[in-house]
Amino acid sequence: MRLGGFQAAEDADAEAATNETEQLLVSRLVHLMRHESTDEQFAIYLTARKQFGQGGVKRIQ
Amino acid sequence: MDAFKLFNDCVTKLLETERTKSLELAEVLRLQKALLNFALKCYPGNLDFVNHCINQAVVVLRGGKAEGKEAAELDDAAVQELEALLSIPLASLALQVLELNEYSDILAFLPWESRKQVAIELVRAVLASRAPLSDLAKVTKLFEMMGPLLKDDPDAASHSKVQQELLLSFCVRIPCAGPHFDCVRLCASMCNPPAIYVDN
Repeated sequence: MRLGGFQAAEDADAEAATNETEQLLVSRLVHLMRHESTDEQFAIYLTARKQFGQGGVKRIQ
Repeated sequence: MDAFKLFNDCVTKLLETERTKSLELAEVLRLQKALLNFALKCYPGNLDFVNHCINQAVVVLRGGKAEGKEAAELDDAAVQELEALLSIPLASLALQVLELNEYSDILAFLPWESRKQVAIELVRAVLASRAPLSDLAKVTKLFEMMGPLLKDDPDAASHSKVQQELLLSFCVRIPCAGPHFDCVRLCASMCNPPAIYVDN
C-alpha cells in the first residue's frame, strides 16, 4: 500500500513536470502577439487573457 | 505534368473500388498521409493540395455520414495515423494551417490526449516560425485549436472526481501506518479545481 502511494506520488510529479513544459510553450506565444495599433494589441491580449483564465489553478500559478 | 493529380486520381480510384471498401480506416488514413507528404515535399506552399488531402480524410472519417453526426469510434491505429497526418503539415506551414478550412474539424475526431499532442506540435511550429501574431481572428482560431493545452478534458473531470472520492474514503477507512502525506498529495493532484478568473 505504501509503495503504491509512492508510485502514485511519483506519477503526480511526472505529470506536473509535463504540465509545466506544456504551459511554458503556451506562455512563449504571448511574446509573439504584436500589433502596430495599441488598441488591436490590447484586444489580442484580452482574448489571450480570457482563454488563460479558464485554465484552472493548475495552470495559473 | 501534374504529378499530384495523377497520384490523387489513383488514390480516389483505389478507394472507390468495391474490393478496397473493406480497408481498415488506418490504412486509408496512411494513404492520405503519404499523399499529403508528397504534396508538401514536391509542392511546398501549395495550400490547395494540403486542403484537398485533409478534406479527403474528413470525408473518409465521416464515412459518408451527414455533417454534424457523431463519427464512428477510431481504433488506436487510426488515431495514431490521424495524429501523424495532422502533425505533418505543421512543421512547414505553421500559422498557415489556420487557413486550412477543415483542419479544426478533423481535429475534433481525435481523442483529447492526441489533440493535445497535435496542439503541442502546432505551438512549437508557430514559435519556430517567429511570425508575429497580429491578427485577432487568427489568434482566436489558434486558441481554439490548442484548447487541450489551455484546459482539462471536460469528460475526464467527472472521472477524476470519482477516483478522488474513492481514494479519500479509502484513506479514511483504512488509515496508513505513517503520515498520510502521499495520499493527501495524490488526492490533491487528482482534484479538478474549478476555473478561476473567468472574464465575461
